[in-house]
Amino acid sequence: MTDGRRTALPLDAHGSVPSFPRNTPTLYNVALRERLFWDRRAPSLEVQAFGPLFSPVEMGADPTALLARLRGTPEYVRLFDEAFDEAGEVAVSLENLASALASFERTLVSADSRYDRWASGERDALDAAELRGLQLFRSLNTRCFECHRPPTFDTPLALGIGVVSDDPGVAGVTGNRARFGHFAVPSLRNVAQTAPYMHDGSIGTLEEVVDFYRKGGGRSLGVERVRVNSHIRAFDIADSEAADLVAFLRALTDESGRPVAPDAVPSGLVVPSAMSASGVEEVRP
Amino acid sequence: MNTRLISVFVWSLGFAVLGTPSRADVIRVASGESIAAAIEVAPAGSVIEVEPGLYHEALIVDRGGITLRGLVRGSQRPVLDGKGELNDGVIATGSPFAMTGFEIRHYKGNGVTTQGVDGVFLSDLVVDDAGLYGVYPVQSRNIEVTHCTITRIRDAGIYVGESNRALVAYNEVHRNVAGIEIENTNDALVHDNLVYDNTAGILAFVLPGKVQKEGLRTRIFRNWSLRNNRENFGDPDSIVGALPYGLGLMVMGADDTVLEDNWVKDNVTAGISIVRLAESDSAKDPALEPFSDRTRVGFNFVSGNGLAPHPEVLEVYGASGDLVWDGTGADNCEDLPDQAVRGGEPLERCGESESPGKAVAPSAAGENRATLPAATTYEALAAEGPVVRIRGMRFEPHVLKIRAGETVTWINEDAVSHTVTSGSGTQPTSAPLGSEFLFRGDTYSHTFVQPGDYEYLCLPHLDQAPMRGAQVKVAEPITESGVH
Repeated sequence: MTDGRRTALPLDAHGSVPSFPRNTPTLYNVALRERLFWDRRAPSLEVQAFGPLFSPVEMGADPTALLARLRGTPEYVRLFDEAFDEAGEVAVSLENLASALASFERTLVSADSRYDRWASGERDALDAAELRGLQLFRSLNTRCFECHRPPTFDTPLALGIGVVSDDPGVAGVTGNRARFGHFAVPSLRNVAQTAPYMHDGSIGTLEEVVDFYRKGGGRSLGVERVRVNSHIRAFDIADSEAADLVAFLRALTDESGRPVAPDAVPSGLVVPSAMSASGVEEVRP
Repeated sequence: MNTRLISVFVWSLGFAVLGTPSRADVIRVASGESIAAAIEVAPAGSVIEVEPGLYHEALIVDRGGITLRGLVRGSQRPVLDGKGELNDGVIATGSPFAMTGFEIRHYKGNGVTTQGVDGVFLSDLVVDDAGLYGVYPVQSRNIEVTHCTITRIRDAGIYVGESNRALVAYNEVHRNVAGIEIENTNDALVHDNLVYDNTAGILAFVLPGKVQKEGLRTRIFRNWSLRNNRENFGDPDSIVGALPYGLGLMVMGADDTVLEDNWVKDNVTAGISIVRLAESDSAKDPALEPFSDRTRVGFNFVSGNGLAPHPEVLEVYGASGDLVWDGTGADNCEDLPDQAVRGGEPLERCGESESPGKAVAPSAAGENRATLPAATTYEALAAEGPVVRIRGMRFEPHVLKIRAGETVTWINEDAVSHTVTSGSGTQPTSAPLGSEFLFRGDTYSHTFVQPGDYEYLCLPHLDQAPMRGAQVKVAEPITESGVH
């Protein structure tokens, strides 16, 4: 449930792009996240929905026109009427639209990966390399687990790791310069399916991500604008251990909850074929 | 319900919680065998007894109720040796977890870490040169670390991080960078430890970027913290690497800490120090309250501290001694003997009326909707400051004029929900206004610091003109010479 692109596709009609284009986060397990967007500015999925929908550099919808269009489609009026308290056209409101989108997103759960099966006692669910990787993941040498805490493999925080970019991140929302370049800690569930990585999609593969951290993240890149988290520092592991870590990360995949794309939708718009295709594996930026 | 049924229920509950049969399985590991292999097949609730010998292993314990019991025979005990190649001695995530009677040495990461464990019992462990931490319970609760000897650790000998309810007692901790650290942890008891020859002895503090934002009610008593003057050998880029040598006991940003009946002697920089978390760290985490509040330094045996302070500390405080306070934080007090040498700002005497057990004020950090009065009304809010009513699908007033520094409160009086969201026209933006969905009677407040025009809208009703293009116009604050 991600687009496999380095950064979100800009709106063709306007041809304009955001000043700081960002990688589109996965929708899996968004129900568990306290705040949304890379800079954590949205307090709920309902609020988040209005961001891309009305952003002139993303979907660029006009709220009045959008509602008129939905209300002009009898099947949508029927579905909104059925789903919400209000009757008829009145049910087709922006609030209910946000509620519908958020409710759908909350069904996208990933909790039956091979890691989960191993954790619930299925001893052979992880192979030797993956188990070594799990061990490294929780080691004080790598410290991956400190921010990507099992079982969600995230923390409800925005932190600095020092990916080189001009994007202010949280500082752009709060005005707090000390948080320049701080971004939400993403969940690692389905991480093998959500390439490319980091807020700007600048790292293409999991191997390169591990390498980034192994060298000490932004600390080693001489990034000075970002206050890098104290846990981010170079660690000494063998190449085979780096491979084990990646093997473990690949065991966090569970897309069994992937919804079946409908053949057609009431608007009559074409359903993109990408939606029904299986996950996109590590598209290079 | 009859009592027999209840007792059956209680029995089965106990069984489920411990996941253990009434008599624990005991698995014996002899020298030359693999402890990891025993853990692999051990059912929940097992005791794994390990004979003295050398074990070059890294252990993972994910099943609950496992006890690793090293068999100590005279001077012989099992040794986990990473030989500088392995990362961690033990990583435990199963609850509860117990380990006794081992020596653990030469790991790159740490000796023993427990991650998210409820019930941690670490006793009689001898940990030497094992990486960043000797023992590291993190995000855990109900912890005991007792009778351990921990030496030559590059960060902290005993580090309790983001945890709740910990007992750290009867340990001997020396030649580490930090001896004992209690970080973002509530309700830790630290007593009867012998802590010497580290860079710094015992520290209770908070760090930024953690989920648990507080460190409350650490009680540090009857410890010996002596000549912790070792040159810092931590990673110079890390927070611990910046610790000055010569610190006996330190409180940094933790609240309601009690220090009493400790022997604090011959720490060259400062015996007891009460300071704030540095601004460079606290700025990263606005939800963290960086000051040490309500520290009670009771009677402690202090002498010979602060005689050759670290130059940076001397520069900041001008003088040092048995007690140093940086002047920040509220309601800190001391009851040291009169002859104790005081540096920094003078602390008030605690006096008889103060009690370490007194009620704890809630954290001031963050907005807390739960604390709003149940029946919030426009009239009640208006008495406090400017208010925008949201009613009849419009913001009233649509344009509000205030001065910088004022706090505006919005109240939703409609039956439908609204938001207060920064935005221009129909395009929501991110800052500075960003409420959650406000249901009838809910309020949202924001303090405007900078002058300017702040346009906002209601996300669910962007299609309705009165619900967008609303503004707060913020003028320069009134200065003292200004006219009303």
